[in-house]
Parts: sequence; structure tokens; C-alpha cells
Amino acid sequence: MQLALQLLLSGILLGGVYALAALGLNLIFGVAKIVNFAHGEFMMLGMYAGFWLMTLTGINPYWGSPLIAVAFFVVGAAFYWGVMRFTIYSTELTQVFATLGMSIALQNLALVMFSADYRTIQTMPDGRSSIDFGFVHLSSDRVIAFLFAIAIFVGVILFLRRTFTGRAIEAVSQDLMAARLMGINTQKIFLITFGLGIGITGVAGAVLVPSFYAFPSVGTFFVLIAFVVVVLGGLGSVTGTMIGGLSLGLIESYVGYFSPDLKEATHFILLILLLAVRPQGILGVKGAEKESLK
Amino acid sequence: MTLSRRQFTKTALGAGALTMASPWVRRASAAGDAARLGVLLPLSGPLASLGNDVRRGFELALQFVNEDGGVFGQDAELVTVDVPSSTEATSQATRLITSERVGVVMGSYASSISFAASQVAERNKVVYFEQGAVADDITSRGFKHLFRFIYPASELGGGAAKFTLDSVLPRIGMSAGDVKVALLYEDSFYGTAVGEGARKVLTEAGVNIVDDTSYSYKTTDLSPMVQRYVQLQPDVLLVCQYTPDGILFWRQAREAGLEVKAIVGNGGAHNVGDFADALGDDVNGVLNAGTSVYIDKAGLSSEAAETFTRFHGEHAARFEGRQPSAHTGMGFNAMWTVLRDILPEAGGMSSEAIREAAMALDKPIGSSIVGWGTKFDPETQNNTRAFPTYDQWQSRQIHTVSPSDLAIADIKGMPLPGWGERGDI
Repeated sequence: MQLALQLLLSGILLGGVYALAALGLNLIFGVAKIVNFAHGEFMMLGMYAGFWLMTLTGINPYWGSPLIAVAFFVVGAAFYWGVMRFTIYSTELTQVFATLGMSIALQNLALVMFSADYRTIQTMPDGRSSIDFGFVHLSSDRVIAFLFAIAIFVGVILFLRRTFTGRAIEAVSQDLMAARLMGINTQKIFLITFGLGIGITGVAGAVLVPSFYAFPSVGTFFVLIAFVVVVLGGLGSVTGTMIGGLSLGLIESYVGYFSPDLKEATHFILLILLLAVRPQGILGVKGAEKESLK
Repeated sequence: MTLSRRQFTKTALGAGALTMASPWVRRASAAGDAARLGVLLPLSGPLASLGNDVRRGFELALQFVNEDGGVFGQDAELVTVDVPSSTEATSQATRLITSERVGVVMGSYASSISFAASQVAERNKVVYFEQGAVADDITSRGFKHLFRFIYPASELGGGAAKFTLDSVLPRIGMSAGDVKVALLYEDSFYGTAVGEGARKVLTEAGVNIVDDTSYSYKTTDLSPMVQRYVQLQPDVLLVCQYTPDGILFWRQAREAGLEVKAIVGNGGAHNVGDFADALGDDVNGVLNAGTSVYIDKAGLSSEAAETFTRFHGEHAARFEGRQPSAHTGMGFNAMWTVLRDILPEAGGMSSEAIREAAMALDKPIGSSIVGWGTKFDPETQNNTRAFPTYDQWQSRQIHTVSPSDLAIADIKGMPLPGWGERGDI
């Protein structure tokens, strides 16, 4: 019983982290219909941002997250303006090459700038790294990352539903042509979406670095998970991303306990099963994966 | 930019001519038999941290040799290529040999990379010196041009298990009959082979192995494994992990409050500074089987002791005060032996001469900065005078504790105190 509860809670915390790691990817896909293969690398940069912020200024990434969010919003917007703007009406292949190229460039840039060492930080004093309820232990850093995930998800949902810009983003995501006819400046919406998506991804990286570690190719560890979460939850669905993340976290937690060597394989098995049975994902809309801007 | 047909033809002809001419151009520059060695290491990707450590060792050895007059009367030269994983190993090894025309290839730290790359070298009859990849099978393929400096994984895993039985169990007040040991290893060539070696020794000693598990080092979460051990409560955890998964596992073990009486690692994560940085004082007390450059130099020959001091001094000076890791030491040892002993003895870069010189090399134990000697087995071409040393983290520094003639400290803090209480070790 105690074990089942421990695995349940660990799985939920892990799922929250996975959902947070995937949200930016899904947001950009949902609106711009671009699969960002450099997603993992933006997360890696977020991790380094958290690491350097703490190392150089002593501000831990939790308190520094607004700063990181703003910085990465700018990075995301610049990425759109400087690179993706030119590919937005091109074929999917062009977009894949553009984002994949960016991914390789960023990885190597990080290697040159930060070396290949594994960097991590300790935000909790010794002995405070876990919250001990007697019968279950929870990682303090994971709990905080989970709370961040909840706050960011609620924030994003409110932003999309309640603000004018948010509704414009939803409109563009639902029907680009109609949105344009209503006078929405789609370039501006794409710019904001990229900023938002990369901003969230940067924060995800920063709040993960205390419980993980940063190195130049760490993004590749997370990007596959982010893809599985997105497909699982539903392409373009924010709530679906959370559900997808939680499902994957829970499955990993139980499979990892009973059969650790199968843990990584479950990602693929799940993906294949899902594509066969329900390709639109848990909360996805049928046909979303086929929608394009043309 | 649009390209007219004429421009295109010109460019294509130019590129074609260059490609066809390049072997001769390169061959001309390689004349004079300079010692030109290919280096094949993971310098980017998840294995890059230790790959770069090895490179530092290679470069330091090259620097020393060139300062002392070089090889064949001229400066030796390294051509380094980055091989992030085994996927790139074949193509990069081919490039080094056929395009860069190196006479010797030095690699490669990761067993999976070594496996693929050494095959290319063998096919092209170029001598391949493996400095640090341990999987047993690498040298069991009957290759004539492959030499390995380090001991195979079975000796590492088996050695760690013997060390646990002989030196750890008495200190935690247990015997082979009543101790519960859990085996955990990453599932590539390296971890699997170490795991097998350890399992064999433990099974022969009649030890109760309560768990025997492998996992991918690319994982993002190891808490379910930690939970297994919380439930199974092993006394000793024998693990084989690369750095990223090692850091993740022990941090999650700390968060879950997993308490064991002893932890024995097998190289990889457990003897590098990044691991200690990630765990802080909680790294103290962790034992490791592997190689060490923190040994007692009194156990070395006078020449090796002198090189040992020069190595540590110059490493700090050249790499901004950084402490050398075991992998840097092993890289240094391999490159130093090849450039100082094997190539001068061979008298040139012909593969046959280098092979004969390597076979004839006979250096006693204690003649290198890691304590080993060098004598390649005529059958397997493994170095028969390499052996694991055993270390313990004390005051956040790795200290060799066994064998006694190389030890700089005694084993302390057994059974292991709880998390957060290891500051005094």
C-alpha cells in the first residue's frame, strides 16, 4: 500500500515535469503547426540559464524564473523572426531542416561555450532535499517543479481563454484564414506564440536543473519524451499535454519499479499503440495532425 | 542564388579535380614518417565529459613528448575526431585512416565506440590502441592490430566484487553468507560486462544477490529503481554507471532516504569530480573500483614518480586548476607509452613494426602514473599488467585505499552513515 502510494506520487510529480517539458512544443505546434526539433536544445539552454544564474549571482532558478521567462520569450521571438518566419509557409521538410539545423547549432554552441561537463546546482540545504511524510518521501525540487508546472498550465489556459491576445492565438490555431479575415495580425501571433513556447521551455529547463544536470546534449534526453507526451495528450491541446505528461509519468513509475529494463521501451510501445488506436491523442481533435497553414 | 549551367559545370569539375587530387596532396604532406596519430573520442553528446577528460590526458602526453624532443626527431601530431556514439565510429575511423592517413589510432573510452572503430582499423591493418574501453569482447575477436591498455570489464566487476567480499564485508560486520547485495548497471557493453563479472564472483562466493537490474543511461528518472531498493533493503549496492545516470540515481536515492551499509561503484560516474560536485558531502564514503591518479607515488618506479609529479603539476597549470580524473590519467598513460616506448622502438610508422614493438614491450608494475606496467598478452593483446585499484571518497576527494603499496588512505566510515552525516569522512 505504502509502495503503491509512493509510486503514484512519484509518478505524478514526474508526469508534471514531463508535461511542463512538453508544453512549449505543443503550443508552437498547435498554433504554427511547426514541429520544433530544437525544442530540447532550448530546454538545455534553460538549464544552463538556471545554472549560471545560481552560480554567478546566487539567485536560485525558482526565484529567477520570471527573469528567465522574459529572456527566453525574447529568444523565442528572435528565433521566429530570424529563422522560422521564412519557413512558415514552406513545406514541412523545410521546417524540419530549419529546426533540426538550429538544434545541432545550439548543441555545438553550448559545447564550445560551456564545455561538456555535467553542471548541476543544489538549491536545498543538506538534509532538506526531500519532504518526508514518514510513509512517503518526495523530492523537494520535484515538488517545486511540479508546482511550477501547475501554475504555468493554469496561467497559459487563463491567458488563452481570457485575454484578447490569447483568443487571437486560439483563433489562429483553429483557422488561419478566418483569423486573417477577422483582421488578426498572424505574424505577430506567431511571434508571440514562439516567444511564449520557448519562454515556458526555458523556465522548464531552469526549474529542472536542481534535480537534474545540464550538459550540451541533455535536450535529446527530453525531446523524445516531449514528443510522446504531445502525441499522447493530443496535438495542440494544452490540457491534453498535462494529461499526457501525467499518464507517461505514472506508467514510467510503475514499469520502472517492476521491470526497469523496459522503462525506456515503454515510450515507444505507448507511441505505437496510440498511433494505431487513437492517433489524435487523448484530448486531441481528429485531423489536427494533418492541418497545415496552406 | 541561381546557378547557370556553365557555372555549375565549372564548380563540379573543380570539386572533382580537388577530390581526385587530394590523396596525393595528403600523401605528400605525410612524407618523412612523422608520428601522426588519429584520436577517436566522444567529445560531444552524453559521453563527452569523460571523453574530454581522456583528450586532456592525450594532449598532456603529447606536450611532454614534444617538449622532450618529439618522436623520430620531430614533433608528433594528433588528428582528433569527435565520435559522439557508436553510430559515427565506423565512418570517423574510416576517415582517419583513409583520408587523414594516420599510422595509429588511439581511442576511445566507450566500449560501444571502440567495438565499431577497431573493426575498421583491423580491416585496414592500422594499429589501434584502446586506452579505456573495458568490455571483454572487444579483444576476443582475434584482431591482430588491436591492443588494450586497460583491464577488461570482467576483471573490473569481478575485482569490485572481491574487494567487497574481502575488504568491505569485515568492516560492516557481515559475511558472504548473510549479506544482501544488489547489482545495478547501465545496459550498454560497459555496464553489462561489469555486471557479469561481479555476478560471477558473488555467485561463486554464495552471496545472496537480491536484485540484478540494468537500465539505459539516457533515462530521465531512476526513482522507481530507488524504490526497489527501499523495499528490498540490500546491505551493499554494487553499481556500474556513467556520469549522468550516476548523478541522477544517487540524488534520487538521497531524496528517497535509501540507506545502505556500503556503496561500491565501478568507474564511470564514481571517480569523477562532476559526481562529487553533484552530491556534495554525501559523496564521502562511496567506494569505487577503477583506476586512480590519486595513488601513493612511493609505489611507483622513480621515473614514473617523476612523470606523476609532472603530470599533476602541468595538468593544473594547463587546464586552469582543474583536478585530473582517472580517465585523464589512463589517456595520458596510453599516449605516453605509445609515443615514448612503442613508436621509437618501432622506428617508423609501419603497422607491422609498431605491432612488433608493442608485442615486445615489457614494463614492470609500477612503471606508469596509474601504477600499472605494460605487457600485452600474445593471444588477446590485452595488457596483462593492468589492474583495478580501489578508492574511497573522503573529504570530497578520491583516495586510493587498496592495493596497499599504492594506497594513500584507509577505508573509513563503514557502515556508511546516513545522508547528510558524511561530512567527517
